[in-house]
Amino acid sequence: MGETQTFWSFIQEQAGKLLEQTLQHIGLTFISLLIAILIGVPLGILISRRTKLAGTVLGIAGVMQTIPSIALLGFMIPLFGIGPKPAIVALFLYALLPIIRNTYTGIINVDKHIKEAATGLGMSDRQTLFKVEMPLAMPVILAGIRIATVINVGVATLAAYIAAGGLGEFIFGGISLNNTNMILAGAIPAALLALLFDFLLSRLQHTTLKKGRVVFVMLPLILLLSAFYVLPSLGASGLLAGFTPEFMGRQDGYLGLKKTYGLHMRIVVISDAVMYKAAQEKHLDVISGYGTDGRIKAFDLVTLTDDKKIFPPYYCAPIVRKQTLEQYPELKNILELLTGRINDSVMTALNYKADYLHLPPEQIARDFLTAQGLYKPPRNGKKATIRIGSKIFAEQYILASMYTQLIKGYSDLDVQTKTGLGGTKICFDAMTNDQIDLYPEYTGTGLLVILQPAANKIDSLNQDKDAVYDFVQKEFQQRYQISWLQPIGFNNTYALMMRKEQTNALNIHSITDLVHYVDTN
Amino acid sequence: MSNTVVSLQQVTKVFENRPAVNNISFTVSAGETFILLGTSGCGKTTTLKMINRLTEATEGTILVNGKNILEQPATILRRNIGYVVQHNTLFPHYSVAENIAVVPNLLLWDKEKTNARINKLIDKLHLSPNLLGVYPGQLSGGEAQRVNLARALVADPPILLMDEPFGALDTITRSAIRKEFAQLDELKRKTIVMVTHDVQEAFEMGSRICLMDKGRIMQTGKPAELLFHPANDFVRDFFSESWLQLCFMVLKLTDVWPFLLNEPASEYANYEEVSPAITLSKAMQLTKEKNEKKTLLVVNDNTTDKKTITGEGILYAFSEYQRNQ
Repeated sequence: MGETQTFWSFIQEQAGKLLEQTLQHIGLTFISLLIAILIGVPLGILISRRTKLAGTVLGIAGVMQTIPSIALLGFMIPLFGIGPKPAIVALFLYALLPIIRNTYTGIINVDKHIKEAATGLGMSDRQTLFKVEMPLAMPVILAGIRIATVINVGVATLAAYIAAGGLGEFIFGGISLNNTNMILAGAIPAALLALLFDFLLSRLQHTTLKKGRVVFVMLPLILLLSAFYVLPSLGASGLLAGFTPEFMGRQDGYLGLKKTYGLHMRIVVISDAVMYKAAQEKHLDVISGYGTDGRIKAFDLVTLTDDKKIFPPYYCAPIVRKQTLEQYPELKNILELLTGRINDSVMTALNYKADYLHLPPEQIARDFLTAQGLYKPPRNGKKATIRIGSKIFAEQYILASMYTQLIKGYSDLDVQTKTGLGGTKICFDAMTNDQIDLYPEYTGTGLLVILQPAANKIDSLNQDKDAVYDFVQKEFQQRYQISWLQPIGFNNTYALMMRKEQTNALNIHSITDLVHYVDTN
Repeated sequence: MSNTVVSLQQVTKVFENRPAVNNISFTVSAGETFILLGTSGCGKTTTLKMINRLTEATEGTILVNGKNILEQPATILRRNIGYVVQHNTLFPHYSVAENIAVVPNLLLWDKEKTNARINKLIDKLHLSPNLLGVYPGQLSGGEAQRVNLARALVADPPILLMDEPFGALDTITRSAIRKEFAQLDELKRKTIVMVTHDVQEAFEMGSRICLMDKGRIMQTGKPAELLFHPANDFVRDFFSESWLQLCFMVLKLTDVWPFLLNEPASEYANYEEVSPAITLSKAMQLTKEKNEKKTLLVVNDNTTDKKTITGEGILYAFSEYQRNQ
């Protein structure tokens, strides 16, 4: 793994998975498109007949379109669980507006004299619709379907967040793992699919006016493409694991589980935003969580013992640009005020307040600092502005808030926060490109995601928290001019988790127990 | 009255509390060309559309072939009434042949019967068979209008409704096609109700004219009746501008026969034999041909009474005729 992989070698290595994801992606796109056509076109016809309904129907469909795609997927989980069902429903809702609107506009805009001529010649309303209005509106309707298809190919990448598969698995895995080849292996086929379908539909659109029979070609074609999705997912039962895209691609994640423990079970890829909830609601049995996540407490989950020690230490420490530290030496002492004050259970409790009690991170940070006697009111200094980044989960938000309040209270520096950066790669790139000055990072992540040393080097360090810390500190300083300050104290490593009552019922308490259970059932 | 094909009895149509057609009645006999004439907004198109139920009358009764039109489904009624509007209503996604075949297909004719009828019809309408596979977008205005007419005539409906059928054509094509259509025996056998705002077209084609204004009928009658016996000032004013021209279009040599003077034959003149059924305007045109004075030989069929007449003689006869009205 040590040397840099080329894009083509990645593609070759992952060809099977790429094909599977591409087929899933096509299937997801078209099954939702099919439903959207079956519902959208008749609805469009209906509102072209009863124009009083048009405003309402188009309004509702328009509102669906304005909901951000991730939020819409989120809304679907309580209703439909995880997996293909909520993804298809969400994609269907996105595809609906262009199809209804174009059907409606297409029919309404057919020359009224031509409609009248059709009626005057003795066509019934139905005959006028199918023989005259629909064929004449067809290019506009197809344009709507074309827009919906392209939208769906794009939005379907997000389906990977809720265990529905598709090319998003590579894209989000690649972002989390700082693996450009993986991102491209997902993004390029997705873009090609969008271009291909757009091209094919544009051809169809231009041949239709004369040969009005498109519908009969299109429906079976879409059905066929939809089948890509449905067929492979039939069958299979037993315990189901949900792992994040990042976990799937990591040596200290799924790859290590396979190698060291020999774990082979049914797995879906899912976003950590919905993974815990899905485990609580029994859509998933095993998930790959973080050791200090507040939802462990909230959802009554337990972590399985890593008895063969494959998850390396993930001690959290602020990392700062060397240049920033040299300019403002006072920062080091301020940032290290937290050292030794937050252990695993304290961090879990803080996360619990954010994830489950939904308190704002600023308040959690302030309450904690006050309780520790560290809080000082801001001095409102204007000496300079320090830019603090954070990744997109609660723990990072809370830490970013604590650092903000400490810097404002103990120095004349001002702070600007850039929170919610999508992943390690995004945070780290922001830092090397001088977009942020500091963010909280984990030793294991620095080692395995950013430095990516040879396997034998990892083996020599593995599991020893001080050795890993010393190694990343030295390497970051040399390679990137970034300093690791003192670790805060907690270890947010990967862990496998299950529902507490299920671990008791199945008598699974370690990963070895789990492997044993899966193999014998 | 000879057999009545279309009959409107006290028909009113109200649009949003405003009467578009106000209490009108008329009858159209078999074989007549009945013209609904008037300025835009006078209610003539609404009147036409009520006959094939594209618009439903608010009040009154409409009979077609003696039967109340409300007694049968609108679609069945319409398939037996030809409907011609401006040429741009051909279906753009159908070829010429498919456009003409619309009504036969609705009537479930078999393919052979439809094709035989189409071939016969395009021949009569002077359309090239090469055009059958062509789409309306590629047709000239005149061709499109012939196809439009073929579409209405294909099932040989006894009644034809026409709404400004020549409206989208340029003036030259318009009068050429009008003359050609007037010669078609397919059309001569039909009862036609036609809407137009063009006075000249109305007098050229109409056997009777119904002049409308603001939803009411001002006068219904033969062209000559409207010119020489206007029912009111509106009718008089409506035709005043082109009155003389219209008179010459309407009157035939037979009408003014008693007032035509027989000129002595002259050896310097050319002679031409013409039918007494030609209009005064046609006769005037012939006397002025080639810019030289020409005398016409006229034969009266009934009495074999011959008269030799000149342009001046025609003008004199017209003024005498007018004085005697």
